[in-house]
Amino acid sequence: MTEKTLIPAAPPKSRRYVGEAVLRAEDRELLQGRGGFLADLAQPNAAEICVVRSTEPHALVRAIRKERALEVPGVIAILAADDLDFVDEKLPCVDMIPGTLDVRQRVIARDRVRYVGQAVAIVVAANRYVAEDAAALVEIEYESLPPVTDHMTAMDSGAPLLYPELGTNIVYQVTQQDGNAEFAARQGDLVIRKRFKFHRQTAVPLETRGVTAKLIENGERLHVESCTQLPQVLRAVLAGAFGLSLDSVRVTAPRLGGGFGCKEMVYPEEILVAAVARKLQRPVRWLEDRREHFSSATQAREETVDAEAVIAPDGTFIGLRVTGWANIGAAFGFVGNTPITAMGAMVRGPYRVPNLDARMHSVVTNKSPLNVLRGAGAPQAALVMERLLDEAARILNIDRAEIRRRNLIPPNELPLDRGRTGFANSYHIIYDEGDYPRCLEEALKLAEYEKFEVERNAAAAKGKLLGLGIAMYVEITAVGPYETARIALQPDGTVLLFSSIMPVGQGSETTQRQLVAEELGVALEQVAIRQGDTDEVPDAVGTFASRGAAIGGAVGRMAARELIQNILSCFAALLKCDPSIVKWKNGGVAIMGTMEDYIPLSEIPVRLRSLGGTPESKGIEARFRLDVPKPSYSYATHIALVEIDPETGVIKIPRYTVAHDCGKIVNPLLVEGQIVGGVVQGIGAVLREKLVYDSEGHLMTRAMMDYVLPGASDVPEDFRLWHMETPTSLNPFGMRGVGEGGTIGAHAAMANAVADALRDYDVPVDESGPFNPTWIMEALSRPLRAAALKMTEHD
Amino acid sequence: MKPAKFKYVRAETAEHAVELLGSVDSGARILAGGQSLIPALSARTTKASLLLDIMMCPGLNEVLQNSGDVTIGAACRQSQIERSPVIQQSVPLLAEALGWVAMPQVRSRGTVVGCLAQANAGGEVPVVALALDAQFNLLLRGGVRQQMPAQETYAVESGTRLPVRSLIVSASFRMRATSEGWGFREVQLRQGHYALVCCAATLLLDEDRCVRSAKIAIGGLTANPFRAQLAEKALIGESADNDSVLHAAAQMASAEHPWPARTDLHATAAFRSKTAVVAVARALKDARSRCSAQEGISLERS
Amino acid sequence: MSAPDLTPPLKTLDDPSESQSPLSVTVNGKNIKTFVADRLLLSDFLRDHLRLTALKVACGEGACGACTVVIDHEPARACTLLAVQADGAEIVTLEGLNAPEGLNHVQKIFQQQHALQCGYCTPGWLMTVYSMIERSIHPDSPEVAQYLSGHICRCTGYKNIWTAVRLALGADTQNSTSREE
Repeated sequence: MTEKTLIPAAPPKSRRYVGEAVLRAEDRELLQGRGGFLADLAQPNAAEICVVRSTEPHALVRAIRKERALEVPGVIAILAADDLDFVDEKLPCVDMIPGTLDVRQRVIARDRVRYVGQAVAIVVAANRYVAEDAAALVEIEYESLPPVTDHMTAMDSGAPLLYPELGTNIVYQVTQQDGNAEFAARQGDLVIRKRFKFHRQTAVPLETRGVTAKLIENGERLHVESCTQLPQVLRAVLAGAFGLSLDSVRVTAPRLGGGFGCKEMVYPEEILVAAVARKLQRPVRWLEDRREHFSSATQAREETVDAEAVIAPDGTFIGLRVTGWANIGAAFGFVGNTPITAMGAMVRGPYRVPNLDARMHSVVTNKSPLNVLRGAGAPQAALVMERLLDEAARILNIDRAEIRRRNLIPPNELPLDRGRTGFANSYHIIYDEGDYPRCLEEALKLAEYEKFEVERNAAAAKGKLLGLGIAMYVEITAVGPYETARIALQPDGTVLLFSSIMPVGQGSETTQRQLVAEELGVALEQVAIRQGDTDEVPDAVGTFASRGAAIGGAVGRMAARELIQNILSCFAALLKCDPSIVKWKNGGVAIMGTMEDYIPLSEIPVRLRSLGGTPESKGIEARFRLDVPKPSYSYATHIALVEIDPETGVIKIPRYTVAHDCGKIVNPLLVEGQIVGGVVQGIGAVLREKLVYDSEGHLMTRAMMDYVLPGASDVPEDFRLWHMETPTSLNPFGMRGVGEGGTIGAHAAMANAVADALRDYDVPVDESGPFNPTWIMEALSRPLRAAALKMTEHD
Repeated sequence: MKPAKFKYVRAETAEHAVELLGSVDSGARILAGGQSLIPALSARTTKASLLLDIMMCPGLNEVLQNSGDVTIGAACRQSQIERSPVIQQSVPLLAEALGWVAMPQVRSRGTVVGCLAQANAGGEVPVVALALDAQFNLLLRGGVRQQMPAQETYAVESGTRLPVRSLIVSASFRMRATSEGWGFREVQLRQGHYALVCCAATLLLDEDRCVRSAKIAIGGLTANPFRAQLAEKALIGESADNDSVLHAAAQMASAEHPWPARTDLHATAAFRSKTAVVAVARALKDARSRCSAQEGISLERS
Repeated sequence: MSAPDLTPPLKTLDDPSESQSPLSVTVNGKNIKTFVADRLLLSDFLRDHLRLTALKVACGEGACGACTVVIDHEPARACTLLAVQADGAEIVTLEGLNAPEGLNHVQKIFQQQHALQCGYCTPGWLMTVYSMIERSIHPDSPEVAQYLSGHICRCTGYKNIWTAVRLALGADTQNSTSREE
């Protein structure tokens, strides 16, 4: 739970905030180091927990010996599966469809471990130092089983089975089709078949995870505080795990130090820490350290996709057949099947491609569980489609921009039903309003696409390989099914919005204040936000899928609209007048006619009291539930320019251009921040970041120096951004989501740019890399393409 | 990521540290800046029962300029040396290479001599020490003093040949000869990350701009850095202005590694072998451009 | 078993095998004399014993810069130092730079440039900028990139941090977009 102090801002000239680059309300506390992150909150009576984790990728647990560890001074308890009681010890997975095999993760290993990092036992001690001393002395006797780490191998008959009782490692399958799924090539059509490989990544928010748990209200209620994007979901899972009523569980979440999907998960530790607090009847805390994080926070992206595209001689795509296999690790994440499902559903992006046959699978292996990471499956989808487009353009000798023009869905065909998805509620992808061709043209103009060949030649003269990559995508944003908000007029004449959107860095406090203040017509300072407390907002969906501003913002603003009505009714009742003469105007109540009066917001509570009305102790409130039957679809064009030093394989990015449309923009400052931040994450993902496992299933990248994130020197030298604002009719205020797009586009644009820079070499670039210096130098040692050889001969 | 128990002792003198180093069976470690040691202890990948902090020992925080070399004490921090006018003037190769060591926030605590003793693969300072024929001044139990050349110290595939229970109290780096040029080049994944490969080189030319003396040390390619002596010899007498001569030397230098090239999480052996050539060639070119080519003086120690 | 004393870590040392040493250190102008466990990390001493929680621990190995504080006028990692190594030192944390009211000059620039999102890495950056200003680093100096390479930010993509840092070092505001509050 975070309570916001108000930031003094200059009085606005008008009460219009939506669309303005309002500075962030949250910055003051953050800049002073008073952000109130979970690890910052004093827990004077909490014992510290250290989780003893599996060092084996795949093994039976034969014995757990605690004796030596228990002798360490300061140790309070050591607990394993047999010491803890659960009504339901399985963690939730929300995208299991009929036919899915149940590989939900258990909160603690019982008899068998399936990945390095899995929780096996818990040490409770006076502090973390002592807890780690004792954890090192807990002896676990394993009987090793053969591991399998590669998902393609895991499907072979005779491969080790993670769940022998299931008889297979393929645990989820879904088919998604559109048009004629039986499409075939006609004479003269080009058929491109490629196998794409995506490497394993992880989010690495700067703040690791953490959980505190204690019993409150005379031990009658359980209070769990966690770094989660899903407090309300966690509350329900905790209640289920212990057989408690929902009311007897309170979950709070402080401000998060980054999430990116890695905290869109219900984790074993969130249940375990609560179980320990219940068992020992004392407050406990667990703070994850970075080495734990690499093996026990969810991982992402790893999949293989076979694509077959049938393309007419003029470059128009007739059909696309994709078969994908996700390496989901040892068990389901909360939305572990979402990335591969979304990949198939969204692979065609903004391109017409009338026929689709997508068959997706999840395969279990002895790696950490997979879950979403910024963009979910959309980065893979865009990379596949955009690489196919460039490949078709190369073979058919069509300009890369031109082949896209020939395939884009024109605005007059929108909205467009793209077929039924395999998601749990089987909704149809229905693209809403937009103008994809214009988005491409704006980006080409801004990127100075026309002069690229001149730049390429100039770079070549200096011994550098310049490449340009175009990528477009359409992404699912602002998903439902609903969201709720509560807003209250406070006795001091301000309003307080209780929001279910978690602050993860996206600036949700600021955007929600902008929307509420604009609705009420009051100053920003008159609106405060509270987030992350299930006692205040018991029923909500959560913070993910680029829904914070669009859905959370909209529901907050709708609640404010309700609040106005409630205030007006209250006045009408107290004044015993015709409700039609009480109106909301200029941020206050205007009473018309003989009783003409104007009461600004700040004076409303006082006036209500003087009128003899004592609005309930909590003041006047309003609640709103916004149903969101359909998501909306943001889109963008990214154009990356890369410069490769062919002697070292080092890549620079002289220019990066984005033209995007996320509907109505609440705050351009924050939208730009999301896009630039997302792009740099995507750049890091394809240039460098990779989780490495050895063939036995031991994680080799265990620290930040191993898993190399982008740094300040990796920023594109020239970043160009173009906002388009086509409001969506699916949202009451025209807003779509924007949090993930930067990362989605960057994967594909960078892959195309690298492929373009290496166009003279026989390198397929049918993967997400990472295109690190080693990769580049290996590519440059490949033979030259026939076309390039011919040119060389002519020279 | 919290260290296991150990005892910390602030050594009063270098002699005190060495005596204590010998008094504990195996778990005693010298602690200087601690920028490698403390994280390793926190990750519990390294163990120590006793840490001997030498940063307060008298005399260890000094930079002494002698006739032909500059001696850097074991307590001198990297940032202090990087900015020292004496070093910038007399050992510019070291000053330049220090700019590649981790980041300023680490160099503020880490020591030059600590890098030499740690001998981390991908560390820059040992490479400079090799190129400049540094001498390590050791202190052993009973007040025994001994010198060990960098060349000998790193003449093993990994780790060092430093005697057990010894302390490097200081390291002496050869001063730049009048008109001597230097170059330091490194290939990194990201600024501030380790060296995938790096090269420190010096050149001294005669009046015809032919090479009188060349020193080439390569790091990152193998676990320990090495001197490319065959390539150095081959350069003698050759025209430094001929790029192909420098490239040939770089090829030769990179090929003469005494141990297998290294593959780790960040790059393959093949990559390192290839880019080491580039790092050497670029370092030699930098060195050439910094040679003022007047009367060269002898590089040999008197 | 008697109830062990809980947080802050290693504050009381009932365990005779836990070696401890005296520590005298100046933090934000205030001299502190105490005893600490030898193995106590400086980051834990500052955060848990002194409750100076602006600095964050994010990687625990000196790689990310979130725990950066200024020690004897130089930015340094608090997670790769023992508290006892700071004996005799003068430490400044972000708490020591905060203005009594509102934001200080550099903090305002960071806000105006939207140079932070989740804010977890931000205190570390501010400490580095503080020492860069103390050293009068020129905004166009190559040292700027070196200092910035000492911090990981996972949210912003660094673009606005570059602008903010250069402005804080006195770069010409003409070259960057200044925003009205």
